[in-house]
Amino acid sequence: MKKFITNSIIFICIITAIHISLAFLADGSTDDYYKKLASPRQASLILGTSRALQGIMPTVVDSVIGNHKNHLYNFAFTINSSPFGEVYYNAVKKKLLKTSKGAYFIVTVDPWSISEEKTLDHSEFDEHSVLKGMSVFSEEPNYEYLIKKYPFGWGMIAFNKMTLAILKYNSKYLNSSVQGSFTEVDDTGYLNVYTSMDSLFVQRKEKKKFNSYKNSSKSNFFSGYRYSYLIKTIKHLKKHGKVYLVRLPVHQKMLEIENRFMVDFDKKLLSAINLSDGYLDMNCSGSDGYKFTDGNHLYKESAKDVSVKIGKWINQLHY
Amino acid sequence: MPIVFILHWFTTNKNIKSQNAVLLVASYVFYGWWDWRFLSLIIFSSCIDYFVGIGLGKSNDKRKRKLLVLTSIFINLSLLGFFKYFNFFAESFANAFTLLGKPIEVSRLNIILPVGISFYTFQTLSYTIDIYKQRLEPTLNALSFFAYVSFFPQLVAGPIERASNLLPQFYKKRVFEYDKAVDGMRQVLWGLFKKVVIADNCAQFANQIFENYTNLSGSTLVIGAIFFTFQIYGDFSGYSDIAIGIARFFGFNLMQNFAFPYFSRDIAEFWRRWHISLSTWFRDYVYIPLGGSKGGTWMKIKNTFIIFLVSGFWHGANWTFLVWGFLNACYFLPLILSNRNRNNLNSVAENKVFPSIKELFQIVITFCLVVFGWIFFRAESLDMAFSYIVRMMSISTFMPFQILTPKLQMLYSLWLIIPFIAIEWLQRNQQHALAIASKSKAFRWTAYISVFMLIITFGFFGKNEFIYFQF
Repeated sequence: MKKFITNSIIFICIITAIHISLAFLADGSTDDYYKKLASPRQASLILGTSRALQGIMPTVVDSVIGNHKNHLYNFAFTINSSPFGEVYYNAVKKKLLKTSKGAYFIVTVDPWSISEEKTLDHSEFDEHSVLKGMSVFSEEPNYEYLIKKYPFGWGMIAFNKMTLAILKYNSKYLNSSVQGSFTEVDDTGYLNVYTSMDSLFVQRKEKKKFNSYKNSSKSNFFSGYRYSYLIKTIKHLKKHGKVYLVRLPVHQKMLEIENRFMVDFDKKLLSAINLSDGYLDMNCSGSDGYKFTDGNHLYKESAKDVSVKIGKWINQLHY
Repeated sequence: MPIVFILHWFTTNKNIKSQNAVLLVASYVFYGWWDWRFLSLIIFSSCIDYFVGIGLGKSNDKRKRKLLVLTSIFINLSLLGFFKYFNFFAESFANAFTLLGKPIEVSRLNIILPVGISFYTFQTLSYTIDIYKQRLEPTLNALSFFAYVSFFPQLVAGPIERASNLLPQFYKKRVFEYDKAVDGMRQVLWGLFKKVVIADNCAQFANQIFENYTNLSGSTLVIGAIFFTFQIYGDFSGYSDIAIGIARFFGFNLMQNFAFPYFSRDIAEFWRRWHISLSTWFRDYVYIPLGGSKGGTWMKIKNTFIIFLVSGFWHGANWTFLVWGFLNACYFLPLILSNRNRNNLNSVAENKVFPSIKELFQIVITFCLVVFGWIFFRAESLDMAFSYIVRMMSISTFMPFQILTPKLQMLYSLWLIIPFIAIEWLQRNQQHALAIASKSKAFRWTAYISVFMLIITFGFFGKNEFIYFQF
């Protein structure tokens, strides 16, 4: 018995030591969220869903508006994790530097982030959010996240890191071969998606995405609850600086689905717009030849162009 | 688990009553954790069978004994039928009337299926039937009996233990055996590997493919069926390994539930190696009482169909399971007709590393039949199953399969199956694939660390319950 217990304890200690070490390897290649919850508290934030996550590059916006102090940080997640609501609101409060003043915030809006599913009760909201049940948002390593939310064994942290390093070394495979299965969050919270832009591949993804949103438009409707949290979020951010609302560009077909789903989106958004320091709808002038990976998310070249435009628009508002 | 282990071995002063009490409380806490309300069900079922057992022991009157055993069977099967099959029968009844042009409204019950009810019901039934058949003495030791029925390692998904094997182990003083506990640990490790590395990774893609089968090529659907084949094996045999391994920590020996079934050379061998505790249960308590194979070929065929249909129905209240059972019975037909259903009783390629060409051919054919059968098992309806099969047999089956996302995970999930099969093949004569007690220390530790590293690297730890919990 003594031998068994001693060996078991040794085995458990080895397992624990391996896991502690692996946690230190966690970074932007671990998954699409970890790094955002392991970076320090931030002064200025970009909020929204995956459109913003892949669509706005903080460094580009910062350089256009000449922001050298309160650097922007992309704290957008996905439609499941960060539609406006209590969970996201609390996460934003905890991520924001308490002393942040004179900061600026880009809050992206679209019909989906202020709508809810017909069948869900409010208590079931954001059940699948990666932010639900989290209390630590700025610690590295973030053990809470890895234990509660990371769905793989922690060896996968090292495996992903190694795979990304190999793929980067053989960069020709990075974009073409991984077909969007590889992503990396950079130091500013922006998600780099290494994906193929082969037209057939993109078309297939677009078809899937459009169908999925068409279905969503049948099962969702405008949510007073979510909208109230958008307002709450803006009010909170206003205490720390300027808040800009942006509707990011999407593929024409996606826009049509959205417009059918919420015809009076701008009208619904009116009180939020009035509360903010400006509203930019980037779909007004068409999608300006932007490239999308699936009709919903901007390809990184286009994300850069969009970020430049947002920066220039903010400059125009103030000068 | 560590708490129960410490309480069991250190606080009971090796007193058998205290050890059983610890196990009983732990089992009830374990079961109640899921839903405490259903504890009453398992306690009720245990009480019935305990008292029926005593009654059977006291009585020599044939009629009274028969009445007692029928009471036990009726109550247990009624509980199972109510929770598991009520809605199925109600809907099937309504559908039948609709087909006859007279649609009727039936009310459905909004009830959840108590976890493990199919397993512990069969376990308690084996106890009363064995006493009735005078193969077992009834127990007066209520603590042992209740602990036997609710023994937590195997309570929710088996192995379905016979009272004649497990119950006596609750009477004897249990002494800690180092070798047994270490081997249990190895089996738990291998079970975990099967569950989180093989089953859960395969599940990601099996689910994707079965949910989107209308948009995928035939070759991808073949891959989907293969993924499910390894998912269900890894999931269920992984659970069995964990259960058997944990039981060994506490000094118990549970029966082997899987004996490398995918290396079977015919379907009869497959069923001797797959879910052994259930197959032998049906053999002993349904097939043999019906006359078994004593009444000639026709009787054999009839009884084979009965046990496969019942077995299919045991798995779930859906026509898909019945068709799956029927299909397996059909697979059996040629073997029964040619009297070759007990041909492959030994292990394949015994004392050899590789199988012969003939054996390999037989294994591949059997495997394909099994994969085909799993499509019905996995499909949500018969329509879906047939539509899946039709698509699977289209011209697109000869095209390369589609890579699903995450691509990397799909590729390593496919690749991991290869070493998994290789290890299971090499260890096919052992109780489990990590039974390596006879190897050198260096070999053993390399194996442990390798398996452990595979688990923490490729294991999926998201929400993926064991499939057999639903049965």
